[in-house]
Amino acid sequence: MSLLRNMAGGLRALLRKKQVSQELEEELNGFLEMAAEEKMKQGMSRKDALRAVRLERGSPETTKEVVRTAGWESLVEAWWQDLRFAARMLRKAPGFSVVAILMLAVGIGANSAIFSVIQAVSLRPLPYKNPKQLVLLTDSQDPASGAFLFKDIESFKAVSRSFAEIAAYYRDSGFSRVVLTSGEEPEFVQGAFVSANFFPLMGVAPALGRVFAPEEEAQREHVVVLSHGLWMRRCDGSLNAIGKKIQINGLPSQIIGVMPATFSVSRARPTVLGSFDNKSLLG
Amino acid sequence: MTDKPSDLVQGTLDMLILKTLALEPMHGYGIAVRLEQMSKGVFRLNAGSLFVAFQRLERAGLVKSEWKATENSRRAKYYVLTDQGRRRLNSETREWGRQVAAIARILEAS
Repeated sequence: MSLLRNMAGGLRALLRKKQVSQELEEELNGFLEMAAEEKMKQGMSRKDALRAVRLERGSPETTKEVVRTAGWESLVEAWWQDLRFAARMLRKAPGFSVVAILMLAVGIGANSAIFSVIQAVSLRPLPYKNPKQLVLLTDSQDPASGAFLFKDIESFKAVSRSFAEIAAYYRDSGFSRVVLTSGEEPEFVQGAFVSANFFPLMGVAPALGRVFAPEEEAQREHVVVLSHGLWMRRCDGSLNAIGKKIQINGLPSQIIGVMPATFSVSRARPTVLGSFDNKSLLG
Repeated sequence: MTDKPSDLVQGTLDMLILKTLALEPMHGYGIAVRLEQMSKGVFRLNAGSLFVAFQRLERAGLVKSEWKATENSRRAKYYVLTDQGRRRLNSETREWGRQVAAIARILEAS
């Protein structure tokens, strides 16, 4: 309440500066006049009286300045004046200004660019369950492709005591790049294979349908999970897509689920996900 | 006390102004004169401190102001105590009494 009133008083002083300062002037003059009259009654000349009053009560200029700078609005005003002064100085030396502004722009730009990279790469938590406990295992001899033999993964699982669970994910540009042919024109898409425990381990649920059941790893029936984008494109985002067949590399596969739009695996977005032992799917 | 006007104890000017206004609305010079009379000349205030205090009190909602004619038919800004100001005066007076009594007890302890 009183804060609001204080703000209102300050704003009035800012916006109706002339009126407020006139009022102060009039009030102050009245004050000094009355004080002088008092002295003149005691026999002083008007001039002496005014002089004495100034000495006793302070000069009108000082007083006005003191009153003007007492409220918070004088800070705003001082700030505004500083700003205008800065603008004037910049205008006076355009060459210097341009260089300074460019340097700041480049500096700030580079900083924010680097920060957004760091943020994306290391600061933002991975969009999975328990991201702190997730570890990506790759072959140290070949970290780029980093593939293990499937039977190695099986043996890791058997001997590992450090991990609660080990899931496998396979994606490359040859083997897992597949051709879709169902109805319309054929389309090359990036696929990937995952073990059945992959989705539960990552804590990612499908947006629609389901993901692979453990027994489907060994099954001959081909089942696939589609990315959100592919589902929208090939199936028009239809809810009936679940259970439909889609031709992958010429072989029919059943669509069992659709991933959410945000799903990605280490920043890649595979469009078709097959379950692991379905490698025969690719012939 | 010396003949020279003393400085006020920090923070008491507002309370004294409120007290002056508790009797009747008054303009700035009237307040200054009354403070001097009531303190028997101990407190002589310059215009700056007074006007800053008026502005502060008005913004805090403890006084209102209106322009009126004085008895000498001069236009002056009169300050009026608000209800809030009256309550503040009461609480500050009580607090002041408490503090003075406490200080006196300390000073008189031997």
